[in-house]
Amino acid sequence: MNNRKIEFMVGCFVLIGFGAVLYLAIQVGSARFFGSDSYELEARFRSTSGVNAGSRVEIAGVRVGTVRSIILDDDFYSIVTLELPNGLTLDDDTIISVKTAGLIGDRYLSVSPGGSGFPLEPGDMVVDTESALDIESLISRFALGGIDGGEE
Amino acid sequence: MSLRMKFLSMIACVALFAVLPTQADESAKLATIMEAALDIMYQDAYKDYTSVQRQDAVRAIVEDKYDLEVLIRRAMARNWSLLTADEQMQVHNLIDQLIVKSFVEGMAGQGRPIVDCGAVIEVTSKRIEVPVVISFPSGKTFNVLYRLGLLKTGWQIYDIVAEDISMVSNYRQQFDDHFREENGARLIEKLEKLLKKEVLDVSTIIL
Repeated sequence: MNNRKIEFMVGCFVLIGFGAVLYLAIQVGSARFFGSDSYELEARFRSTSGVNAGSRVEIAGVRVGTVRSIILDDDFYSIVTLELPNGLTLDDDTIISVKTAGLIGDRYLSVSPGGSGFPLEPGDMVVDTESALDIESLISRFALGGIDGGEE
Repeated sequence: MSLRMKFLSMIACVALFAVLPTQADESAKLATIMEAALDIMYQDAYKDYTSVQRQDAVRAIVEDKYDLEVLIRRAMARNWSLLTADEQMQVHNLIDQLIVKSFVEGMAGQGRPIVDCGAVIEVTSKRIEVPVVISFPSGKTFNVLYRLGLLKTGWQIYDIVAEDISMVSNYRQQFDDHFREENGARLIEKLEKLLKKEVLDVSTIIL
């Protein structure tokens, strides 16, 4: 009887241990059993230099999402998949820009919400984007002039 | 299919394509309008025109083909709904005048640029882009991307991206900042003040 009680206690302890490990795994992996609390949008850029999977997505300086992935399409445009919270509704005249935090800081995506009244659906693509300013090419153009060789 | 039916369907197809605005035409249409606006600035026939007369002539050319309200509303975004109907009309008119005035005064004293409109890039079935290279005799060259959307009124310009900087994004930011602290009446005051400036250049239009 005494042995049975000990075995029962050990069993309970092991079950609680498994439960704790499972809870930890779910929390760390941000897994959701009952639907996702986020949705994805795509954005098409001429260049996303410096932006990586995991980069911040901000509105008015507040982090609202994350860059999920970046791929190159057949026309050599950069297609970025963004993960945004379900509560955030963006209209189809939203503009997404690649920005730099400070002068030499990390690159992130800044979202300028529109006001058309036509909301973007999950999976839609934002085509009104601004690519990163290429400081080097701007300096080159000012320093060396255009290819026409005229005076600047 | 009988010969008569084939003939009728062919006529119907031709009529349909004549009515539907085709994307490929948009580059040529844009080039025609830009050249017509430049003619007002540089052709001898208009040399006696005052700045105001030039502005009126340019506005008539542009508004004949494009609705600038599309561009203005996109820049205002959700701030547009914060204005009363009367304020919306005033803001529309003032920005309209500012755009044309900054073009006319910005081009004054410069040589006629060469405008090269590239092939239309189809982004989606309802959005296209026309890349344009504007080369001035001084050697300065600007890459400008015209973004057009298919609306009920046909293809309309909804953004102009100069050297990767979107005009709509730039002004939307300024309008957002304005409306966080001030209202439509104050915006109208600012726009009227800008319009009264003797020399107006695009770079000076900061609200």
